[in-house]
Amino acid sequence: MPSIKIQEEDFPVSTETQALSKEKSGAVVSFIGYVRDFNETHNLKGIYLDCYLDMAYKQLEDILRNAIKTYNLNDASIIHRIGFIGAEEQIVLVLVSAKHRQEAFTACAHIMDTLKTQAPFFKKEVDTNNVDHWLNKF
Amino acid sequence: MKIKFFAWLKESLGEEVVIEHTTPLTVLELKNKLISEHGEKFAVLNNPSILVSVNLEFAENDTVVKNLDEVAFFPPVTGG
Repeated sequence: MPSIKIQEEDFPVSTETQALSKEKSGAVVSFIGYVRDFNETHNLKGIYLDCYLDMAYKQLEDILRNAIKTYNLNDASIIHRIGFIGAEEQIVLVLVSAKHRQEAFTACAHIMDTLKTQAPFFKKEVDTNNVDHWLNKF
Repeated sequence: MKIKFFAWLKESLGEEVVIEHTTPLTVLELKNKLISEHGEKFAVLNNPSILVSVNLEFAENDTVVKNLDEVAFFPPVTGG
């Protein structure tokens, strides 16, 4: 069963990888997204992530279910952090297990690409003087 | 009908507005109702970059909303 977690706490990648089902799997691919320290804000302290929680769970569940079906995955999981996350800390983890590596690589990339357009998370950059700035504000 | 706002829209429009509306209306009509009843600052919702969802699914200006639906407006998403 696909697992989805949206949480403030950081996540241990090894524990999450252990928890992924690897039955009939020859490949596990993981993607870890980090807070960039080279974006629009100089002297970045970190980011604040707002989230439409109910919709994010719904969209991430749809994304995983579609990926499992399309790429014949054995299992898949997503962890996405919210709240304040310091520069160079982990933001997101995507894990997939599949029979062969090619479908695992493709599925993992597809899940991240879709998450970036469909999951309602919103970043605000915070600099070392605690001045903040929403991305995509006009 | 519960209308939620996220990211910087939440800071300028508030977290949530509840309106009573017994007959269905489109998202576009809802935006105009918010502007006329809650102030010109809600005109930002007409910016084509602003996204809308109805009952947790992405929606469009012509999507019909009913009184018990949950509507949300937010800027382009920036997760991951």
